Order: sequence, then structure tokens, then C-alpha cells
Amino acid sequence: MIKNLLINEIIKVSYKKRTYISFALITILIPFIVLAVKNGGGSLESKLYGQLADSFIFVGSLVNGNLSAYIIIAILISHMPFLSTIVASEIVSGEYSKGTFRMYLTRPVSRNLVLLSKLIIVLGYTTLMMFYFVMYTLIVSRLIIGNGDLVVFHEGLLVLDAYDTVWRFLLSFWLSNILMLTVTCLCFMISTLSKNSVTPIIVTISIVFVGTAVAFIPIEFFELLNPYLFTGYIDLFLTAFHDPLPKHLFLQEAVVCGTWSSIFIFTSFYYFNRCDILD
Amino acid sequence: MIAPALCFQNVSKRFQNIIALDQVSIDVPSNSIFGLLGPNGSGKSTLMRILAGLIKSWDGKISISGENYSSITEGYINKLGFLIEAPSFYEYLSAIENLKILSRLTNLNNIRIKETLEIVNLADRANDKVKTYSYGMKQRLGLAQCLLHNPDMLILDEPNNGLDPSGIREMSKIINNLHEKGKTICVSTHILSEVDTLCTHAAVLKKGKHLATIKLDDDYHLDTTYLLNAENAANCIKILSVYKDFNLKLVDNNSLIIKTRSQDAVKIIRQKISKTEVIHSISKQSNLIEFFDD
Repeated sequence: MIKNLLINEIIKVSYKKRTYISFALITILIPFIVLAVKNGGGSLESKLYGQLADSFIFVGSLVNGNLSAYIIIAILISHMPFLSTIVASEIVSGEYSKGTFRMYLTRPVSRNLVLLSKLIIVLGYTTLMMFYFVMYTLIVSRLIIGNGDLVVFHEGLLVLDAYDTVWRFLLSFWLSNILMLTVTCLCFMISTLSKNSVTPIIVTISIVFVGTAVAFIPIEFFELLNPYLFTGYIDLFLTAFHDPLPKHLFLQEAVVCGTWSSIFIFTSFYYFNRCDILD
Repeated sequence: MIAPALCFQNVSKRFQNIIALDQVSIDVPSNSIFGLLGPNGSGKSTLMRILAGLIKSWDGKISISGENYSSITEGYINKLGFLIEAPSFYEYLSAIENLKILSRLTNLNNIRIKETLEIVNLADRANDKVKTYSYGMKQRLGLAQCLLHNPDMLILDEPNNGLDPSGIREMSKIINNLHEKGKTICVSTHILSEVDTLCTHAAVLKKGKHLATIKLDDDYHLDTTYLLNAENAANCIKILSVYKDFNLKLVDNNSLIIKTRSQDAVKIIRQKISKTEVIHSISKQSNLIEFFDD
């Protein structure tokens, strides 16, 4: 049965235009930003490494596809929660508001399975979108600017060989994806509780916004709180480019995000199994 | 004795402080067209939603073909087909895609989808997107959703709601055809004339309570009910009370209900009343109007 439910959800999602908004935005915007990085490479280089020029002699350019991808991901990652809510916000609330649950749930199928199929679809969508975002950015950057060693700041200046970067980008995808999956679970939960598809987007983004503020405002209480909030790991993907890798932080992210995701999923299932479909 | 197709036993539902259903017990006979009649807010839709499993917490029991259920199970829901309130679709999909989505939940094949679309006269528009359908077509597609898995019993919540007269005729024809094929059909409505023409039985709900169940047989149809509007209804009752085959009921200062088997009722009423009273109107009504006289 779950296979048939998944086919149904794939059909429903694939026929909606909003499903493609995030992919379209990424596809269109990234090449523009990469071109801007390429054209403004000189000034970017001087801003990034200007002070180091007194101590080091740089031969050639530090601006290459890997650096471009690294910078673009770092800048755009904070906007990805918004894109990850596009499908999740509507997947349950849309069925309440359009009344389609009145027909769908009067069939011999359990509510748990219906909700599970929807959850799998939104988690799959977010993972696919994040993978596309990271890999497309890397590929387009390399195609337009070219390959080269990646120079990042970590306990000084860390130079990563070009061949050493692809797996790190894949790791950064996975680290950021763990957080995005939690954001998706949050949005999914609100979609289950809400009867319209705008509320989940607004509430999710507001929570992420407040959480990010907590992560970046240097107040002692916030610093104590931050490790327990999933939003505290929004920039963790940067550590994929550190050497050695902070594996304890990866585990910490998995535990915190996993706990929050479990709470959101449990709440969704609990409510959905007990709610009356009155709309 | 044949067990009723559907039996509600002391079904109650409360929404916070509002009692939506109060100990409702109704038997729906097999192979009947059963009208669930009541004004808006009487609990008809709530009863149907409970049956459909859309309302989760309720008290009482439901039995289908003699088997008791106190909660919704997959086994019993497959015996029923539901059209709850306005039909709902994935409007960006075609009719056939909409039905395929449902057919995957009951493992049905495409042949059954085509058969169902033919029953509701939508085979020629099967591949058109639902958003291009008229209201009447959507209502028929809703019936197709309901019929798709070939249930023993159809539960239709106001199926004629919003339809024009030709749409109502077409829907009634389809319902009668299904009834002739042996389906039990439970129809909720607040339109009395629909019940008179379509149903074999009717139950009346009011403010969440079951008032009566009526068999709409030949005997029922021998009665005729009139609503008389006059200057002084109480005076009219005095005048007409001498006629023993007139069953009279005062509605308000200006109107009264007259139920009779007399063929000359209108003539008698006009003759007797117009001597002393001003008659505003006499209109023929459903015999069920006595339950809705307030």
C-alpha cells in the first residue's frame, strides 16, 4: 500500500508548479552569481586575503570554482529553509483546505500510512533540492571559473587540494541537509496542524529566523541555549572544509536535529490520527 | 428477518459545548433509498462524517449488515462509498487521473475506472482537467469517486446541492439506476421535495436528535399536505376543524398546515375560508413539512 500512496503523492507533487520554483530559482540564480564572482574576482581576492598579502606571496589566483561554490553556498544557505518549505507547507494543509481529504481518507487506508507517504515525499524533496543546490553550484562554478585548490580560514589559512574538495562538498551537503530536513519536519508538522498553506511557511521561517538570531547574537544565555537548537547548526557545513573534521560536532548535530525532527514527526502523527476532518 | 444495511445505535457527538448528535439511532433498510432529512445544522453531515471515519471521537455503535463497529475499520469502509458535502478533486489532474489516485488505494484496474465514468456519463470528458468541468459534471465525478470500488452502499451528502434542474434530474436518474441495481443509498438533504420523489424511507433529524423514521410507501403518498397563508390562521382552524379528514396544525398567526386525503381539499378550503377570511395563498407541500413547521 505504501508504494501506491507514494506514487499518488509523487503524481500530486509533480503536477504542481510550485514544486519546481526552488529548482528554477537555483538554476537561474547560481550562474549569475558565479559570473559575478568571476568578474569581480580581483576585488574579492583582495578583500578576502588582502591582509595576508603582507605575509604570503600568492602565485596565481585564489579565486576558482571551488572557492566560488564555497562562498555561494555559505551566503545562500540561510535562504534554503525558505525553499525547503515550499512543498512541505502545502502537502497536508492543502488537502484540508481543498477538501480532498474528505475523499482520500474515506478509503480503506490508514491515516498513518497516508501521512508517512507525505512525509517521505517532503523529506525526499528537500534532500534532492539540497543536493541539487550544492552540486549544481559546484559544477557551474567549476565550469565557469575553473578548478583549483580551495583556500579557507581554519586555524589560520588552510589550503585544500582540488581533488580533496568534492567529497567535502558532498559532506557539506549532508551536514546542511540534516538541518534542512529538521526545518522540513517543522514545516510538515505545522502543515498538519494548520488548515492553510501560508501559515506553515510564515511560522517556520519565523522560527528559523529567531533561532538564527540566537545563534549569532553573542549573549551568554544564547550561547548556552544554542547547542540545543537545530538552528544552531545552520553554518555547520563550513566545518566540512576543516582539517581535522570536528566529528563530535557532526554527531551533536545529528542528535539535536534528530531529536527535534522526532518531536515534530511524532506531533504530526499524533494530531493527524486524532483530528476530525470537518472542512 | 433481514438485518438493516446500516444501523446507527445511540450515536452521539459533541463539539466542545455544542451537541451535534444526541443518542441518534437509525436503521437504514437494505436496498432502500434512505433520506436523511433535516435543516442545516441538524447533524446530517456529522453523522455521515462519523460513518466515513472523518470524525474520530464519538460515542455509540454502528453496524453494517449486522456486524457491529465502534470505530472505523478498513473492512467496513470498503463496503461504503462516500460523497461528503461538495465533491473535492485534484483540479489540476484529469478525471481519469483523479480516479486512478483513488483506485490505487483499493487496487482497482483501469477497466473499472472507464465503467464508472460511463455510469455517470463522463466518459467523453475523462481526459479533461477537472478545473474545466461545470459544477454538475464535478458532482457526477464525485459520484464516480464514490462508486469506483463498487460499494454495497452509497452515502451521499446533499448530492443535488448547487445543481440546476436538469442536473438534479440527471443525478436522480443515476441514483435510481443504482438503486435498481441493488445498491442501498443514503442521501442527506434539507429539500423535502427531493425526499418525496427520490426516497423509499426517510429519517428526520433536528438539532442533533432523531425525530422520526418514515416509510415513504403508497400509504404515505395518499396524504397531501397544504400550507395555508391567511389573515388569521387560528380562525381558519376553527372553520376547518369540522372536517374530520383534515389534520390541522397551526404554524404561526398567519399560516397553518393541512394534511388530508381529500381530493377536493383546495376547493373546500377556498369555499369555507374565503367567506370570512382573506386567503393569501394555498400551496402544496411535502408531507414531511410537519417536522419543519417552526
